[in-house]
Amino acid sequence: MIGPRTYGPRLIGGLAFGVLAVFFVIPLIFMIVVSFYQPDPMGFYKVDFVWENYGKFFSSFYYTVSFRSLYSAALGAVLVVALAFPLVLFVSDLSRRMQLFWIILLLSLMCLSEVIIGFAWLILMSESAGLPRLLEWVGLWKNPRSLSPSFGAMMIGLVFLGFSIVSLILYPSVSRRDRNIEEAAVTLGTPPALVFYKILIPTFRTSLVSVTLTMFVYLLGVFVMPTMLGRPKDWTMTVIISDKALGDANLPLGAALAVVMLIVTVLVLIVSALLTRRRAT
Amino acid sequence: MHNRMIGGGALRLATAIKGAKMAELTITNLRKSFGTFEALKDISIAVEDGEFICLLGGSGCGKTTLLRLIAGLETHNSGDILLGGQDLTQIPCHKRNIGMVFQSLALFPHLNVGDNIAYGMRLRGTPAKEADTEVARLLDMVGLTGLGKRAASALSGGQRQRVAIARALALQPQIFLMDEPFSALDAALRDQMQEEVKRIQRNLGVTTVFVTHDQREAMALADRIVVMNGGMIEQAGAPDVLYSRPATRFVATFIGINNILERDGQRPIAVRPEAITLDTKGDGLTGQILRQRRLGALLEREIKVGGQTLHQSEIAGNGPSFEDGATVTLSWSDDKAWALPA
Repeated sequence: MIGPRTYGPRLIGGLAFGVLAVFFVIPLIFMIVVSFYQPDPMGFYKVDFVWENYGKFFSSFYYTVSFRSLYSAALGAVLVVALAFPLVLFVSDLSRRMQLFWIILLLSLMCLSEVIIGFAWLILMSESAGLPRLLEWVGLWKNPRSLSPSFGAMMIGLVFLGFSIVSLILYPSVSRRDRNIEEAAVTLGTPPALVFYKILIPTFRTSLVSVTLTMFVYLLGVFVMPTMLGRPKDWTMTVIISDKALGDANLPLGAALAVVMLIVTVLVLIVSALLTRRRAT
Repeated sequence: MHNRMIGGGALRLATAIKGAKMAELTITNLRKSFGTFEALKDISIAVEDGEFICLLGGSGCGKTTLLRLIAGLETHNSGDILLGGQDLTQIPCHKRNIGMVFQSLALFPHLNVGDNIAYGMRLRGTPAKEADTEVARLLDMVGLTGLGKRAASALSGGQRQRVAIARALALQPQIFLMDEPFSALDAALRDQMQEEVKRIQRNLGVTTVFVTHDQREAMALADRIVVMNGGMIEQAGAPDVLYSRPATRFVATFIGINNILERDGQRPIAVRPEAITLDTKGDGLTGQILRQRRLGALLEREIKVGGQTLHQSEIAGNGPSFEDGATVTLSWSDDKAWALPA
């Protein structure tokens, strides 16, 4: 017997479940249903059952775009983690005071909205005010052009967006790690420069994979960065979906694309989870 | 061969007579500071080839810093560390041929038992077959035959200790360093591990430096104990020398229980509890029995003599028995009273 049975936690859990059901599952079902409706230029949709919307997905444009979003989200996620993990390692070895400084810096980055960050980069990469001008002034670039919109600019935006989140997720376990493990590796002949690859990455592999997957899903849903910093052909599925659903008032096509995206995302997650589990044993 | 009991000077003499082996590890005037804190103040010590040394002291005495300097995990401020005639301070940690067991054990969590032990060999490009045979041999040596495929996390505390020891010895190190490896184990397991480490060390003949704060552990393991305090060596000597002939007041009270008796105009003396016999009459110090407790075979008493509480112990039943509060006369033979520096 642990103690008298209390209903508090169950009640809260039940409430949370209820909220999730109402605000996630029901819209999801609605979305799936709508994806089979007929588009109606005059009034969003007509109730029907057609495969036409899914058919459109396999026409090359949407197909390419969906893989492009998978690609940019995956690349973004890998880049974010590849940059954030070394930084967190570096920060965790600083003095307490400096660590606190970095944590506050990262937290304050997280407080900025996507739109503000997007604008900031837009200005930084613009022809008239930003980095290109600086490069011209230094003499490194003769005829500067704006660096955005471009795939690279969008990537920078995505990485910036995910950076503080990933850093703060990794920080607790990295700062509490047993430093003796790295020292043991050195006493066994590992050159200090290789400790990162031979010990730290394998030790944190599970957390690195899971935080990369989290970032992947997060970046798939990012909307502002691609529209602000990317060219139309860099636009991710999220942008296309809202463009179709809201811009063209074609809700059924938007819904069908969203369903396909959801299925692909879940498949990617399942496959990566299976792969990591197999390697862990 | 018990002439080691005589202490550091005699030890050097004994080795000189043997004439065969030079001191394997020689540390001279070693200093190390962290900021304004002087962790090591002028440490000098010579460790013989194959010798088992315990660095003993309380927390902050510098024992772990000294070990880490030998390992190359810290950089020294001044002084020399020579291993087999080679200047160790010029060699980075990963190129020194050392085996180290950490307090936290620091097993690689992503590798199984066998791969942990084989890590160093793999790094040096030892052929897989050869490494496998060696891992099997090391597992046998530490009593973990057949557990090579287990995850390190699936082992018990004592088994993990053995893996850490096997891993440290896998590269046949010139010197074996251990940093309080058994502090997390319960008493029975600790005793068992001490015996095993001693056995393995004797068989391999590897020069060993073992850091501990536990004097019982140091007594059980060491050929020679180096007692450290405040970044300096108080005394280095065989366990029984430290016990019966402490060089300083610190050593006299740090190792075991001791009674320090001040004398007017003379150096104070240290008398061990078991050297004191009690009687109801006779001349000498008199005192009153404060407390008596029987611990199995041993009877321990606290006796109030003047303003001081002295300790006395004997095998129960070997002496007369007294009531609590009884007035007794204390006596000891002169050769059991050790004069300390003033």
